[in-house]
Amino acid sequence: MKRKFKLAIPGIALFDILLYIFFSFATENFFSSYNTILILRNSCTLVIASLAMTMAIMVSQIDMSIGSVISTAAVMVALMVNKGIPVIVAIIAAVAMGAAVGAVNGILIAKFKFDFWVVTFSTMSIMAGIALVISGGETIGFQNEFLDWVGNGTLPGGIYWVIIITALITAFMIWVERKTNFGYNMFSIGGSEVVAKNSGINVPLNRFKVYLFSGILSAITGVIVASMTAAGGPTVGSEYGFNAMAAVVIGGTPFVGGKGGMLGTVFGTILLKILASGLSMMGIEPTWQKAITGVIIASLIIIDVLNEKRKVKNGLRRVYHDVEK
Amino acid sequence: MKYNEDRVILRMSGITKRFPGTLALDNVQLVCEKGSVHVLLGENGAGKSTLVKIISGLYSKDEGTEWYDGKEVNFANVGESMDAGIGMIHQELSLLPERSIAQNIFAGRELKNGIMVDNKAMVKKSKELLDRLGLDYNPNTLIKELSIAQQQMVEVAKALSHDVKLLIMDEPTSSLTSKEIAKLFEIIDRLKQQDVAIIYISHRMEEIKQVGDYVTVMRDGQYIDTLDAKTAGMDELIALMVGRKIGNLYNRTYHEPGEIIFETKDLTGLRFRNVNIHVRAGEVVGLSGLVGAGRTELAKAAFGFDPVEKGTVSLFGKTMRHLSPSKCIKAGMGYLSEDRKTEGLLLPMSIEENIVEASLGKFFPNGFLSRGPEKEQGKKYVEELNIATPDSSKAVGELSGGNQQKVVIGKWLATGCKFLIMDEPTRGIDVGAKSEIYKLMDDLVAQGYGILMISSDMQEIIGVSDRVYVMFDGEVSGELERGEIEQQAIMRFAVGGKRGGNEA
Amino acid sequence: MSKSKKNVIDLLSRVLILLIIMAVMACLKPEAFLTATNFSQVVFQQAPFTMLMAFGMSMAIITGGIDISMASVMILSSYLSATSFQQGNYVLGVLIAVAVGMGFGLLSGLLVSKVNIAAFIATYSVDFIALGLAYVICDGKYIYGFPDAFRGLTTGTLIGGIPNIALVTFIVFAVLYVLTKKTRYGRGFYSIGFNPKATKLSGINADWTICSVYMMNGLLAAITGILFLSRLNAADPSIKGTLTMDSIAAALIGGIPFSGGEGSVLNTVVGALIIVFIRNGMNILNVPTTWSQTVVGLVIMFALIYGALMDKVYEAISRKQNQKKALAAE
Repeated sequence: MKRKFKLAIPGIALFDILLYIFFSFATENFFSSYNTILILRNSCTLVIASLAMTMAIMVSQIDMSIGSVISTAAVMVALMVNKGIPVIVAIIAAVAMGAAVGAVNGILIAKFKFDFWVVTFSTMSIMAGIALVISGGETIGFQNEFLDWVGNGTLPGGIYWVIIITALITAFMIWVERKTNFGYNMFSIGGSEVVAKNSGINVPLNRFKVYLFSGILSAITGVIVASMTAAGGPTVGSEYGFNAMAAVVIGGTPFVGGKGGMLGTVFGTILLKILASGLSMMGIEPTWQKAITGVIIASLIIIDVLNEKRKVKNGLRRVYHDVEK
Repeated sequence: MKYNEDRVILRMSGITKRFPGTLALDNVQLVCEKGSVHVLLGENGAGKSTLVKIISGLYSKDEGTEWYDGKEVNFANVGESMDAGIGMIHQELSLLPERSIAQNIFAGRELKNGIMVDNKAMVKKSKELLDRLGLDYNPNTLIKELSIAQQQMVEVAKALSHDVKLLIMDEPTSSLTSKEIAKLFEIIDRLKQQDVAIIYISHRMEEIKQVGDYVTVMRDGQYIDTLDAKTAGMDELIALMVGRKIGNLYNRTYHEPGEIIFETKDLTGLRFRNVNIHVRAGEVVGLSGLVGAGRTELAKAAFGFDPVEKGTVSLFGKTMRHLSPSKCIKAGMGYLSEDRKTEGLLLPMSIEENIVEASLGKFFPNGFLSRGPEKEQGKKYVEELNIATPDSSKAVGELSGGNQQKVVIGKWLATGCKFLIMDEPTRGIDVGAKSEIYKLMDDLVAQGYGILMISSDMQEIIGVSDRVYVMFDGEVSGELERGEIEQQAIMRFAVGGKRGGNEA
Repeated sequence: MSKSKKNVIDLLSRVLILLIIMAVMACLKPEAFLTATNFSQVVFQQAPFTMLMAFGMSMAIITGGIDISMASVMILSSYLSATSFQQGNYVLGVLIAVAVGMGFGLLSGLLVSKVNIAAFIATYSVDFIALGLAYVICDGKYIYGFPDAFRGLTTGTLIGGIPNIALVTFIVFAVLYVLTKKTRYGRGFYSIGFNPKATKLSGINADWTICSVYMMNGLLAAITGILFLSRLNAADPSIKGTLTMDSIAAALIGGIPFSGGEGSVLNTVVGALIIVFIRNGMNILNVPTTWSQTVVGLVIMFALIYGALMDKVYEAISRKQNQKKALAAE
């Protein structure tokens, strides 16, 4: 796509619009400012989690532990607030936890070269368990002004603060992606680890940073989840892993990585939420909703992989073997 | 060769480099002047790539000195040589297809404005770079949107994005159209005017005269001679490239060839086209050519591993439909691949396990494995092929190159195939094992086998083959019958020349 | 040292780990742990389920992949076949379960082998689809109440006091052991795990082998599903629980490297026993169930690190041996 504008609108945005229009006609209450704002509000947490997932997928890997870190962060905040710990400390503690998990992932994967799937799967299990343990298996409710404002506060006119916060975080992440060496390095590493290495990029360090960021963003997501529901439950994050993967791939960053980006992911997330809202308004039962969404996501993932394979086959057909004696 | 000492920027002397099992470079020398193009000429395996990799710091040298830009140097890695002003354009494209030209040029060293990456500056600088090279590409185009030739030009731009004083170009024109080649030569001229020294590796004879000032010929890891590129004659150069006595490594006995057991008709695939070759029982047919000619691609497609676009393959008189390795094996064909470590062997598994790997159906017809046949075959081939190992249950990964290759050969012999494609059968193997393998090949064809031997070793081709096909750029450029096989003729076909006559 | 020696030593070290765990528990709570009831419960009632699923996981890992879909396929197949079993229509029930299991296995297998999707993506998606279907079909309903004969599958004993379920597991183990270690088809698993390209160039149809592994896992999932129906006397979609995690942990701690190409179902047996005894231990020590996920996750991480350490040790020993040989040869 030849870029005339700095911030090119990813093609996926078109799908968002089309789907939105479809549901506006297909159901009665879909098309309203109230519902639109609701959709945006519901997208917030998944957006941030998906930004985290975007980084891992961009460098051709994945982070399975995102969901568990979200749960643990939510529970931590709930518990600490209930114990009277100042909110800001609770938030910092949760983020620190996320960073720690990310660091563990990063070291094991980037430095010791263990398989990224098993490592993040194990940290996922460990943290999911920790969330269960510290919450005692129950959802912990709490009351806190600041968090209530974060989760439910609105500007006059109905725009939720959480949308603004999410937008700010998104803007920051997009800035990182497009304006820092680290961001460029992610694209390079995802494009070809060998080429990246030959260009002098410190691949292990950058991979470590990806997981570190991912852990931090996941924790932030957890904090916001807790804020929006005034509760922290040990399984609140369990669906985020799969949905984030879906949002990233749908948004234009393929599993092989190296291209796409966070802006696309945002639209991918919103697409999923438009779909959820629309199906719900059409009166379709939750289980069927899940099934339909799941099948759509799974199919899109498969189509994405097929597409990439086809491109590779037709693309760089020239490969030279390095003949070494 | 007399050099203008004031202008010398690089001097390599006494360079020796050993790899396990081979002496890659033996007392090699090279001198480069600023503002001149020094061509490195030699067959595959002559040591050209190894030499330039030492210059750029990718490899270390075992002996010798490298004197660069006023002092003796010993680069520990590529980064250091890059900082010192040495740039290298590799044979293989090293670009990111989904990123733009500008992003590729500055990958890993993005320009910044304060803490933020400055894309505008990178685009601007890239444009300047491209302009300087006479290329009017838009720096924002993605690499994947460019043709291969254009991509190679971007590689040139990328190499020049640092301040280079010495530029190494490894086969830079292999994927260029004549238009791009002309442009590349313009760029080279411009660089010369800027006092950049250039090392130019190529096997295209016509380019040597066009672009080169000096030409150094290497052979078997040794420095042969340096001539004036403008006045040296092609025959003279070829003679230097290949001129050596064929050793007594090869004792072939001639057999009257029998029936045709392998034949291709207009076989066309991704990297080769319209190939018509055949092999008869009792003969070793050599398939010669330079790297990139398409020989391995042809072999893999004939074996059913890679897809075939057009044409047919027939084995033992039968036309094969829907080629696949297992079909070919059943029909009596084997393929000994180029890279035994990554394609021919399962390194952690034992010798005997590897030997029966391609004939599991034959030895275990009822599906169940048993120690007996496996050990038997293992023992049989360890003895027959003289594999140096205390016992056949050793892991193949622990054997030497020569012994590993013998295991691969054993694997194919165990299948009972009567036609064998051997892709670089003696690469990376010591002389002792080499002669054993040649004797083996001789024995096999005496028994009626047919062998198609792909080799980049001129000595080997000449010494072992009964007939020779030569490929160039995906097509069979020449065929030599018994009695016609000699160095100059092969070389001429290999570089795209035509039969007979003198190429200027 | 030779590869087979290394494998034996490695396996023994895992058995050692198992024994250590058992010893620890014996010391801490001998009265609860060292009883016949406890042992028979763990070994004959809990272990089989983990073991069967772990067998499937192990084979997928040996071929260089992974199969995360088994648990959901198990649930779906058990749900669809439940009514047949309830009505005493055993043959039909088995057919349905097997068809569902192998059908999804085929889907996973094709995605991994022909479409060339990474195994974790492919089976993750199939898992989602299967679970989704299960929830849709079950509609929150419970199916319970199965005939005694059917229940006898897990509760009854056919031969000499050994519960049938243990018998079934043993038969499966024996079949898989022979299959993987003694047939040329099974040899293909290992060569594919080491090097798919070299395997294909040797004329082995790697695509079909890979596909069949996932189909076999589907079959295993179906079998496990039937056993679950029999044991719980109910079809309940929420039993997915920790099976996936446990089977991965079992395979890894049992000694099967995630990189593929090595390991055997023997490793899986040891690994599964380790996992169930750890759970048993937590149970006996009254560790809250909320800890179990963390513990198993730590086991996986430990297995990774342990495997890497062991590799380094073997390498060092091999190098020393080669040096000695080289010296002796002079």
